Amino acid sequence: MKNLRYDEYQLKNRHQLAFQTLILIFVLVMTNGLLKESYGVWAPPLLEALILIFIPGMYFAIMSIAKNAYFRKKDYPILVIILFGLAAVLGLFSFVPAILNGTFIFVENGQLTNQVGSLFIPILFGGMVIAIIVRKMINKREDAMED
Amino acid sequence: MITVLGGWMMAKNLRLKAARAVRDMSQAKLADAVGVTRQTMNAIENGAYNPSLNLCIAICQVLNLTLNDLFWEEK
Repeated sequence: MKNLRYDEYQLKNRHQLAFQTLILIFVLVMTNGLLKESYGVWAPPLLEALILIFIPGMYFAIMSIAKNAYFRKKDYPILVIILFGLAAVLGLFSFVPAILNGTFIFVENGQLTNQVGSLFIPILFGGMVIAIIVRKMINKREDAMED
Repeated sequence: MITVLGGWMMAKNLRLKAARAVRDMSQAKLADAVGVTRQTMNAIENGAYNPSLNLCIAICQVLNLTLNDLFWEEK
């Protein structure tokens, strides 16, 4: 039994989270349908698709980090924190200047604008970095208490 | 000493904890020896996870005990 894969408890947690994510997708797709039926188009098609993918994807990533089911034993969380942190910071540069200039528009003609899509990268990677750091701190405290 | 998990009542595995303590083994060391994470070992001890037979056997082999010693529960 070597550490190349997720262990069985991690797999169990990932399966559970994957099922929850599937349910979340059903709910979001249904909500999207009802919203379009009653309100009309609320975002450009590509942005709408991105939002419907982004929310379940982020749920799965953050929850699997919280349940210690994101990293295998051989993985390097520090490297991931650095890379994801870098991605989050670079993502910030794609919209912060526009916000400071006052050219960033969230809603236009009753629809979200495509500019909103640039928020996804920093939110996703920033959220994951924070979740990994918090989880690592909790694990460290548990390790210390156990020893 | 009972954990409620998804409708199942699972008892803490104090025998595993005791066997580990006798051998002066931390959860992390035992987890490394059987190829799982420390959190998995913690979940087994706390009754939050019911391990597979393969993992039970691996734990028994590392601790030099039998399945009866660690996992069998008399009704």
